[in-house]
Amino acid sequence: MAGLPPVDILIVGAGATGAAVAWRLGQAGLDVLCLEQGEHMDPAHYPSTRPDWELARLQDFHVSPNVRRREADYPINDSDSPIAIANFNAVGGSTILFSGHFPRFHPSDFRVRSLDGVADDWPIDYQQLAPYFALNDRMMGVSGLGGDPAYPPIDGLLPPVPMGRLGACLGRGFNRLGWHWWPAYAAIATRPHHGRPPCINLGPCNTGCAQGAKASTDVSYWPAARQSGVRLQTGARVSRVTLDAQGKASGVLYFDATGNEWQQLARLVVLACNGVGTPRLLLNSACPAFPDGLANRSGLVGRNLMLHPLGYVEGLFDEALDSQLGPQGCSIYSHQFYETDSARGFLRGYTMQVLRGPGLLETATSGFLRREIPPGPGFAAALRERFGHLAAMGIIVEDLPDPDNRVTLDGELTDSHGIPAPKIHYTLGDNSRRMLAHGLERGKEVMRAAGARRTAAFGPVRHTGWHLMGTARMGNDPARAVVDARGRCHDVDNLYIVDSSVFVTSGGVNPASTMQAIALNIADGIVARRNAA
Amino acid sequence: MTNPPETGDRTLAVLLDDLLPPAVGVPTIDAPRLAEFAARHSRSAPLARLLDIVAAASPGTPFADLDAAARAALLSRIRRQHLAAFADFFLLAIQCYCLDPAVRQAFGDDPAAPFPNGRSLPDGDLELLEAVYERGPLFRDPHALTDKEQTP
Repeated sequence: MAGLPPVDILIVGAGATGAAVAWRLGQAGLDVLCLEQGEHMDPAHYPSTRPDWELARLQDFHVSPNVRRREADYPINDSDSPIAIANFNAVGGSTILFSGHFPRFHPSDFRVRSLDGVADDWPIDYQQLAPYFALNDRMMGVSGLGGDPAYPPIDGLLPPVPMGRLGACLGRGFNRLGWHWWPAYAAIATRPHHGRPPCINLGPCNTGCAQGAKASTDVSYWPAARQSGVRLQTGARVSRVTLDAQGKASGVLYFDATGNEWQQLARLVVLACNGVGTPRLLLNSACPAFPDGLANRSGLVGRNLMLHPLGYVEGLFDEALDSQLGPQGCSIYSHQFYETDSARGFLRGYTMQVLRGPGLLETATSGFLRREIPPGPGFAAALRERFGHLAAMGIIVEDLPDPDNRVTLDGELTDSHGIPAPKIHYTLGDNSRRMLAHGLERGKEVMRAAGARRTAAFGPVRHTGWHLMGTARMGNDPARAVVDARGRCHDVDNLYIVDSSVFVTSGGVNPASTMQAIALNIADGIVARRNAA
Repeated sequence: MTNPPETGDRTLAVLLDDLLPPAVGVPTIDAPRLAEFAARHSRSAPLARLLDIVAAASPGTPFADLDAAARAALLSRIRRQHLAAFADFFLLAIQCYCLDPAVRQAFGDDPAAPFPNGRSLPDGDLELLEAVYERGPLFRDPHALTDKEQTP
């Protein structure tokens, strides 16, 4: 194994948070290298450049690495979970496939124990993160509409993505019920932004944006980070973090694209591998000083996995909604049931995220599988009745931390380099079940109020485990947290974690905006510490 | 059991006629197209499997020679007894069908790749939001709450 000259800062993972931290540290003039196991994606080959784009979702752009099986992917044993893990491994990470739905956490999400008596408060709050939310919005190019009563004021947004007939129809339904709704916050540029062209409504944002309007970090943060001098090495799969004699992180071991193993030395190591990849790496980095996994004296590495159980609600309308058109995950949303009201029978709350309707193939496939579109003479008529007439809604349920929901190492399964794969142990808690049931019913109520002729609802949906949180939680007490308020591991002074592993609670919204704001905040802490040294 | 090619072709053609028949204003796909689609996507197995099941289920008279009522009854039985094989076959047929440009056009879908031309989408009526705005804030601000209010 060959050793490489040390760098100041070594980041593992070039996804949502790794890119943001790399840019921020590069801007501060630090010597930064990022190792990423995936490669650069070529937008010219994204599915939306092909007429058969719907097929790609079932194949090499499937959300599950176990189905997709790209060279950069590692397997995940999620057979012990009702929710399968979704991710993507490339420069840009899972933002390559995310829908771009980009709401922030609420102020109350950081004070869960104080306000609602469950879980724990965070050691940071919304006010502290506010400037980083704003900075991140500028870097990503976030669209939306100011004046949303669900949030403190949010400025500087690009115009919202068009809600279309679908959004307007459901908006009227929400109005009839007197419930909150608002145009979605979206990490999708609706005007030219930092050299990115505006959205042209390709539709399947969640198979990669060929236009470059969606802010996957390969087109948002990385160009700016590279300009700042940050170096990015792809095809580099890190197997473990190494320690020096003083118990500090000395660097990492990794395999390059040709399978050769290297040791990259570093003065400070930052992990940005997501809520499954980061605990996997820490557990794989067990050593005599940390026999249960690196930075795991608390025993909490891998524990408290939160996944946001997702419910699906559908309404069938007589009127043509053209619901197949538009950014798939972004139209309008509701936080009517976001803040706690214990009269509902559960604590905390959820998002109702209006989704665009399915394409023709998915309409036909799901209709057949659910026995709503029969083979035979009635097939075409039933398909015509549904295509473009379906409204869909995701119910994103806040998942409370439970130490038994966890990531461990699989005893047998390994990736292509022989590195033990992660194993997921996860069940829905009672609070989540009650909340999900409530959300599914309220979703159907909205559909009916908007004029739906038929409704359907079910959950949790299996292939929706995008939001991977809590597995290296943040807190001031080393006995009850893996990292401190600035993302520094309590047990290893120069090891930082910046991805959503550090989340104390999960909120009830897509976490990308909040985790990037936290990552930028942590990056500034690293810079301040460097400057003070 | 392996289905003789000629019988298989006839069976597949009649199967498609029965399961995905042309409708008013909507064309359908033919057997050679489905066979080519399946081969191109390395998924000929579900097709061959169902043909074998159909052949085994109608040993006396080839499926294609049965009358419509007999075929419908047979397919209904096969669907119940060989649920996974039937679904694999039909999902493959649906894929071929829904990706056919003429079929997509017939359903009002744009058969072209979304990129580079994109799609047009109306903004929607933002005035609908007035009622939402007028109801006022609905988020909790921990900094504005009293200790009493914060106690669950």
